Amino acid sequence: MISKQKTLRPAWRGMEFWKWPAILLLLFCIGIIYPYAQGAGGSNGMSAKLHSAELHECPVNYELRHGEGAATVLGRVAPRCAVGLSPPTLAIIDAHGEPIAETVMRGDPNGLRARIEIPNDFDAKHMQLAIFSADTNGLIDQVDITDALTAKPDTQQED
Amino acid sequence: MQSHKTDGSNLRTIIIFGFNNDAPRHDEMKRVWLNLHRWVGLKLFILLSFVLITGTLATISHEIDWLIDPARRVSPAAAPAKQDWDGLVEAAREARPDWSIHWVAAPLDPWHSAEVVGATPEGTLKRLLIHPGTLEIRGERGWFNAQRLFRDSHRRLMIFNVWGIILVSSLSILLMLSLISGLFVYKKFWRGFFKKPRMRDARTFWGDMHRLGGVWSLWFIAVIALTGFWYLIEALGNATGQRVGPFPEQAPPAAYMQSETAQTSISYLELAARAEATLENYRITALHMPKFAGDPVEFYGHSKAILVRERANQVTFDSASGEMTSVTKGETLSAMQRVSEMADPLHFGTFGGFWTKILYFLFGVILSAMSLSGVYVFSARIRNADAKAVLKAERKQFTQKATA
Repeated sequence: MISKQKTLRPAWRGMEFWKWPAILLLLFCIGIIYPYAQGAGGSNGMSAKLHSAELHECPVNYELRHGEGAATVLGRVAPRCAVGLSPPTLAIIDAHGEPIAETVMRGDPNGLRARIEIPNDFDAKHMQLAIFSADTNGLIDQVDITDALTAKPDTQQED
Repeated sequence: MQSHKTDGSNLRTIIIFGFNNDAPRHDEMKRVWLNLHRWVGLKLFILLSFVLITGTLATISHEIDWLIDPARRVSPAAAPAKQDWDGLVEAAREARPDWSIHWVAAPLDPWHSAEVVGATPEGTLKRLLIHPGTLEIRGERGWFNAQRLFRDSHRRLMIFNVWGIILVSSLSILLMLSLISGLFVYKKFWRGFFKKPRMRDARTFWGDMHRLGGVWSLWFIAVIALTGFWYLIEALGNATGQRVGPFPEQAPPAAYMQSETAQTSISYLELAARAEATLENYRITALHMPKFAGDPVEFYGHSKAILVRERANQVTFDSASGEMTSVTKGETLSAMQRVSEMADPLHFGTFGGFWTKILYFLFGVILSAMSLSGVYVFSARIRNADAKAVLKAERKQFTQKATA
């Protein structure tokens, strides 16, 4: 009686070198499932390279996406903070305190959001994300985003 | 005895025959096809089988989630005739006021709950399962579920960049080669549809099953391989910055919304009614909320055009004024866009709802079994041939001794 193990041996041999990269890929795939399930973070929307800051006692999430010719900073104020808030201006200011790009945060029932584009060749040192009052145009708060801007470009695809 | 060498010489044989001026004999050509069939099926058997099995499970992954998660189950009798989009959004906002809602998905079938996907303040995607009739929150879940497990394993081997997709979708070429070579190897395959498998031994039985499964799933293999090849083209296009979209109607509206108020009084129900009045037989499956300033409210769904993704039937509105900003009709897409939008329903088997998914699942099982049985038959044939060769050698030795 030929055992099943022995019966499959020629196939195992026949796969030659090719079985090893396949096994490595499968091990990688299986190995990533647990951390993926634990992290449970999707790649859709604001989850990639996300940074948090507190501006005017209100949490602001922002992320950076590098694109062709420009980097985009996507900022979002939590919906609960957006209620009744006059939409402020979100700006990127350089080391000398000069705004290099700014936009008014606009509202919808999902909160206040803004998208700012800055050239890719910017000097990231001491770059600040700042929030200005809509009423007085005065600086409300600012946070250093040098780390976010100097982080490795994110190539993760939305899915 | 048939050669069972499976090294690079087989490929060399193919190349030589391909460039030989003399017409190769029929049986030689058949051997070339057989070697190609074996090469494709055997060398990458482990990877191919994994992708086939996870893909098979992915076709019914929503149903698996429904089975393992009670919060997803609702009585079909309680399903409302029309989705209460406002109610679903409000229920989610009330339950999780700090979430940013990304989209609201209508129940997949009358026995499924509705799903709201949103981002927490930390940016993590989460799901809220809501009863579509009573608007009761049935549960909060993470992004990961059976659907994500099988989709991400099948689609990209959990490699979360474009290379994962390229790697998996390039297997479609092997699948197509396997299909073509199988047709050449199986002489008069069209007679094999009703051939009963012989029960002589395991090898014969699984060999016959392999052929029987092959002829019945010819259409399925062709569909999966061709759509898989399309995904390869799409992924390569994405990697090099070439995209099929955006659709002409999807161009961003010229004037961004002017309102700067944080709260608006848009009625999604009203917008949905206007969208339904715009597209013929429009059945909305999802409401996508604006993510950033200027982003519209989007409705995806099914309309007249068959075999297109839901996003191909799209109506968008200005998220502040409620003005309709674009209408995309599946039937008006260009040929290239139509091919692109056709790939998903054809590959997933979702074009006919629950029953086509079940059909795809069954054929997926057959295809996965073919991959496994092919390797078993190959191995058993060689094992038997080796055993016969040993027996023959022993007999010869015995005869020589007896003669001496």
